Amino acid sequence: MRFGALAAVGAALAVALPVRADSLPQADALEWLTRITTAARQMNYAGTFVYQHGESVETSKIVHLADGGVEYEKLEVLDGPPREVLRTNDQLTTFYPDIRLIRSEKRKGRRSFPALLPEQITNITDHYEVRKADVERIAGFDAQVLVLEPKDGLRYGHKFWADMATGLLVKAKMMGDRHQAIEQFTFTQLAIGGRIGRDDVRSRYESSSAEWRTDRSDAKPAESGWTIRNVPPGFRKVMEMRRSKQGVDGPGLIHIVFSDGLAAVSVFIEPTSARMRLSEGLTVQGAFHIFTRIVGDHRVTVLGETPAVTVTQIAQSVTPKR
Amino acid sequence: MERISALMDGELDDQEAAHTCSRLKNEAELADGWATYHLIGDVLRGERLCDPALLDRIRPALEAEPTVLAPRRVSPLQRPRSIALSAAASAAGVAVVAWLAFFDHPGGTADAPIAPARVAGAVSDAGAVPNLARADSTVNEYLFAHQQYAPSTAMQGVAPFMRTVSLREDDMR
Repeated sequence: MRFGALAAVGAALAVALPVRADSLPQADALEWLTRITTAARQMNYAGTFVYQHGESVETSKIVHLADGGVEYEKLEVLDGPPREVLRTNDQLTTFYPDIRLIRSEKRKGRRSFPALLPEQITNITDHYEVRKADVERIAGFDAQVLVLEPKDGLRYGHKFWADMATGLLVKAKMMGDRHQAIEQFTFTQLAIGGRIGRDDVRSRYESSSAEWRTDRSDAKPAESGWTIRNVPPGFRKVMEMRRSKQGVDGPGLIHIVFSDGLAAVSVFIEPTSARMRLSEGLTVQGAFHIFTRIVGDHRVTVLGETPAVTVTQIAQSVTPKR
Repeated sequence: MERISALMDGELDDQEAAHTCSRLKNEAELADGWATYHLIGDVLRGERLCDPALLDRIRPALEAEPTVLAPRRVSPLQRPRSIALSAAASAAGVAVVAWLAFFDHPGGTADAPIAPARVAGAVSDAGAVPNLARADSTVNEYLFAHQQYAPSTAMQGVAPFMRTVSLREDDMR
């Protein structure tokens, strides 16, 4: 159904826009974004990719299986301490074997895993120049290059390489204002289709992890009682929820998500406690900027894969509703 | 080392503090870290004595282990690595203070909308935003939660979780 809707929007764009000669390539590029999202959910694939940010380079293996309407996915980090992320639709489980920990999280309320919503896709062109560039070869695949240049300093630029045949993303790069790479994902080896079974998306720790500590949390849509008065242009609230941890009482953690269709910024609000780190200000971690502020007896943490100014602006305008 | 720092910051509860103190007594590396962190803090504050307020917070936790208050001298040859890391963390702290000072005087109320251009300028002028010298476990939890709702996850599946799961053991505590 969703894909039908997405395709319909793509088609509507293609029909509505050809009057302006320069819009056609843009509509075409937007259709590619839709294809990428669809392929990520529907294709079966297995491969190895490299993640780079700053000086660090890390290699991971990924397997994705769509089977009978259920999505199974497994990410295995190959460098440093072993880590495994398993996903079955909205259920995420992460294994940390060296510290014998399982982190499990179930989303409730919205059925679909995050997707680029049709209105977000059309919204993208308000804040990014979107164009199709050349075809380049990545990991043996001919890939269509898509370039998204931000129209202001509130978001980063993106470059996507999508497999010509399937639309699957084979490389993605996020760029700063001088086109410097902020982070990059590249498949070095990839097989699309082929034989992938349920065993390939199972944890290798399934049987050995019975005694490990398990942290369970879930998130439910909820009215938070907080408002963000000065949301940067193009960003819209996509989710407002309350997160809770099994075995931990209390009001839980408020989580509000804003997105411009490509970048996302999360606002976390938590009552302060004696044990909490209460340092305020801006920090950076990998591709993320993080701004922490104390508002009354709450700690507000805003983070996103955006320039500092975006998270800062949101953080500065978080206010309790009266 | 995270524990040492938390102890210094008064963030450990009694039991954890006692445990860390007993480890301090037995593990040379931790003791070195303890001394080094203090040394850096003192130097940055322009004083060689410990901050009395800090001492007041630490003292109750250390009552059971009085010997720790006289840490061994740190050999200069032993500590270049932790100095470098901690110095970065401390410098980051200074930068954060400078940053907050900037926001405290935007010429309006504390929560007045800020001017994006000025902020962007401030960031590039400062050269770099403080990097989280060590990942705070809360921040990591936040990053992980955030990742689930980020459009990059829609386009790349779980691959972007790579950003948040490759944590070291220390980061998870």
